[in-house]
Amino acid sequence: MRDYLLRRLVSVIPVLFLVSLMSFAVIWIIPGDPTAAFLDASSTPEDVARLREMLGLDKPPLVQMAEWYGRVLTGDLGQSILLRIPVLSAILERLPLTLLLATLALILAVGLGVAAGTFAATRRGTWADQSVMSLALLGLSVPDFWLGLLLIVVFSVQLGWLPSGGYVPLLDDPLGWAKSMVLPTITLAVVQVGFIARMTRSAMLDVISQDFMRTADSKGLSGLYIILRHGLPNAMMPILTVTGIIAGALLGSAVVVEQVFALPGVGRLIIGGILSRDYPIIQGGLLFLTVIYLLINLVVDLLYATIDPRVRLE
Amino acid sequence: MSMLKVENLTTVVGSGASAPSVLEDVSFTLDAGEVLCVVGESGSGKSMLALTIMGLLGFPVRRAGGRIILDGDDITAGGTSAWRQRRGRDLSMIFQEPMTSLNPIMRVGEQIGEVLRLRKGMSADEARRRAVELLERVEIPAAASRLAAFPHELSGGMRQRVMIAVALAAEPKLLIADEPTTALDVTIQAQILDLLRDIQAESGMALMLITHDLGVVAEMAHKVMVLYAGRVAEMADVKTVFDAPAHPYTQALLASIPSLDSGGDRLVTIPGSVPGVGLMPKGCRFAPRCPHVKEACRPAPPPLAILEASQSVACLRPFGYVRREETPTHG
Ligand SMILES: Nc1ncnc2c1ncn2[C@@H]1O[C@H](COP(=O)(O)OP(=O)(O)OP(=O)(O)O)[C@@H](O)[C@H]1O
Ligand code: SF4
Ligand SMILES: [Mg+2]
Repeated sequence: MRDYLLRRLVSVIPVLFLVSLMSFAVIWIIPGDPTAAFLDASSTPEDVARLREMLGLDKPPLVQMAEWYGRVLTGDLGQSILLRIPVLSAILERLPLTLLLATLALILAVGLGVAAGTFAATRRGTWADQSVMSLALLGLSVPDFWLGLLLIVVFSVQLGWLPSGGYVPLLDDPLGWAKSMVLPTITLAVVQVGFIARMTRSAMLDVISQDFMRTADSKGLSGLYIILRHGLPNAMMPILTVTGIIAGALLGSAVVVEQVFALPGVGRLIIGGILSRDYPIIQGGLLFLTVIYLLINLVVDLLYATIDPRVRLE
Repeated sequence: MSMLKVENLTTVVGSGASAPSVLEDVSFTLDAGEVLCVVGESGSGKSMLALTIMGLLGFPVRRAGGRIILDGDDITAGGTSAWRQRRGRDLSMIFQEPMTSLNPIMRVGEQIGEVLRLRKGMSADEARRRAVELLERVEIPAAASRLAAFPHELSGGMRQRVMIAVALAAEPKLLIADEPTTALDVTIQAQILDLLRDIQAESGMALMLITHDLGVVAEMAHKVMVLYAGRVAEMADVKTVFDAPAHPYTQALLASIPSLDSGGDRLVTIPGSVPGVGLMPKGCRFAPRCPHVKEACRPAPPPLAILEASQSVACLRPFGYVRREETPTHG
């Protein structure tokens, strides 16, 4: 198991290298002169030169790249042009909210999705199965920003039960905090519930038809015990894979949902950065989200190996 | 009194009165301490019989009629949950495929232990000790250290031994083994069969052993039931089956094994094949392949009739009017 962990950790390094290269290349990928957005008609050529120097654009690309890596390795992601604070602190300040939102949504999505998918699989072909799967398909097809707006209209505007947006810190007002998180979490989770439910159902159907499930039945164990103790763990591999993918998708959707619900998270920071061409923010934000994504998938792989002893051999 | 008494068992595929049968009107008895071998070609319904008795049929296959009386109680009477209570206590089964019959991600000790804890009410400690004993009983070396093994760490033979240990954990009154050695090497087959016979003899349980290997029958059986296309063709004690098979199908089965005394070159296969489910002839199901068929065989299936105390046969012309010794040999 320790060997497996080491091998897996080492394999992350080249990916990290590539990812940071791509974050760096953003500055060339986005069309237009990176300095244009910050300058107006009154800017002198000196202003332009100063900004280019600040962004490091005056040096040859290879040198720029080397410097970028050097800085990233020491944890320095540069200075936000607009906010005039270090990118790293801008991100770290907003990261907890984004992670919290994504984690809550992930827990909700996995819990509900696995339960719904398992339920449907054990009632294959019945109306219960069909209803659950139709709901899952519906959830899967709803665009997240649209759902967010719909929830706001119903629960904030019409019913007035929940705030339409904004963030209340947990320590200031726990109830207000909980209320402020409900709609964003649901919005974020709905699509993924559908996704996980469908995946779980098909994985469980595969497992249910296998010989060892009949063996378990031949032992006189209860149906629920067989499903939970023998079925689910064997269906967990594909479910975990999907969960890893979903964790990434959640980070992406969080960007949209933070915008809809006016939550000050990393997503909103990046969107703001894109709109105002604050390159250091874009670069740093993307790098951060990708690293988190990689970490999640590393954890997923380790969970594989914990659940299925055969994985460790590969 | 018989340990197992099966009466007029019928198993069908699908719903409705006209659903085609995979087992029809199967009746037999099996005493404690007895070994019954069930033989028949592929598709004759041997596995269906095992699963029906275990209560393990899966949709769309279902028992449409008949009773199964285990140690005096009708286990079909109480519905599926009462039947479930019998499994892992009075009834156990060993399956054909040792490679897939064990949960691949659960430790061997737990696969035995869950029967002991959840079905036999043992504590975790007791279950552990008993699991080691069971692994020792099925002759797995270094038994205690194997509790933590996963199935993929064991050979096919070892896995089948684990399956036997799982089945024995219940201390069943009836053990059903569905071709337990078919998937194994010849040398391992013999070891596993020896083990099964020893355990059966020492525990006194009834054993229903499904096989299509007549060599295994000769080794293991007290009684033999020959199934053909879901119906009992012949039921007899083992000596009678080999010495004086009455049903043309039994005779054909025996003729299809190479025998040493005729130089090993007498490999006759039965022409034709078992009719598919739903395509059964109205009368005797063996009629299309039977060398002794007469018009009288076609209108209705012949009932299982007692020839002598140890032999029943479902045939209108038992022995085909000709004893096997008098049949001209091929070659
Ligand atoms: N789910 C099912 N639906 C329809 N027919 C089935 C189903 N399962 C089995 N059958 C049919 O039931 C008949 C009996 O099958 P069974 O598996 O009991 O044969 P068997 O004697 O065990 O053969 P083998 O020696 O190959 O194991 C076969 O004709 C088979 O095609
Ligand atoms: S009943 Fe007739 S067809 Fe059937 S086995 Fe006997 S002789 Fe053959
Ligand atoms: Mg079979």
